[in-house]
Amino acid sequence: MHIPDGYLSPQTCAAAATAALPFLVKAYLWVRRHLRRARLGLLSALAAASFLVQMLNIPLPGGTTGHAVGSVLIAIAVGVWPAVIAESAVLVVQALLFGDGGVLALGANILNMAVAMPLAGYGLYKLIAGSSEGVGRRVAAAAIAGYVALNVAALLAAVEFGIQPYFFKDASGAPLYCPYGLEVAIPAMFVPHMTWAGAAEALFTGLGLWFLIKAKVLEVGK
Amino acid sequence: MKKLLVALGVLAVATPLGLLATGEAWGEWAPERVAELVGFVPKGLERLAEVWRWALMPDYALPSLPEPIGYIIAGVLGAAIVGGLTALLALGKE
Repeated sequence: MHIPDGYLSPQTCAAAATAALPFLVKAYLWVRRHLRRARLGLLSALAAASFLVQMLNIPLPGGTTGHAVGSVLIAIAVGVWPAVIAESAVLVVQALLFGDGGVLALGANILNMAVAMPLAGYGLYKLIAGSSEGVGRRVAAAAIAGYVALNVAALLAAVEFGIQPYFFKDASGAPLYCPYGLEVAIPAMFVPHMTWAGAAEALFTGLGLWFLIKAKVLEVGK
Repeated sequence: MKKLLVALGVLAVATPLGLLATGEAWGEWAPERVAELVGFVPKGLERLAEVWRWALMPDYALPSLPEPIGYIIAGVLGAAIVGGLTALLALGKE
């Protein structure tokens, strides 16, 4: 779901970047002021893990591929705003160094996977886990939150893709960027992300949290 | 922390499993592939698809190396850079 360059109009790219910017500023300021030094190693390690898990492509129905993202695990383990920073770092490195995801489209990819996804995932996790100290409930909450948040990101991407042919056409009416409208983009994004990719995200987030608790990296009384 | 690094190492070595998935992600097609799918290359896509030409290891591969080796190298390199960048951003000027 890393949107490459050329699929979104420059106007869409600018709009997405503008929407993401206040969250990035807030995240940066929060982290500078509130992130405990002791958490820095964990944050960096989870950012690295998110990068690596995104290289694990999974074959999906219909001959497409997908992968987990990992931003929800970071949000649960370290916090929402640190997750925004960490996942943004992942996306920037992917786009600039590896050509995975567009550079003009970075704003949109950041909005989807580094802003909306950790925010939605963390909120849902808190809702389901509450103040429970039970490992089982927290792990289940993490898995569900990861699954749902991934699909929130997928929906945003689908909308960004799918509005292109309506707004950005040339003189003859041919689409200039993504040629598929919402009626194609939304199902196309949802089918893989509600199935195997969502399962991968749930697995990574749930198993990841379980691992961090068992390895005593995270204290359950948090 | 050591357990975390071990887990990261396992993840890094496991990355070539991602090469087994031979399909393509929806919406991540090269312009030529779009032409196969819809019969033409949208002009904006054609213009902007290659706007960033300075990727160090495009598609996580090194042309001279077999794909799985390049993939692991890309994984380790990328993971280290991402970790370092995150630490830098989170630490600020302190």
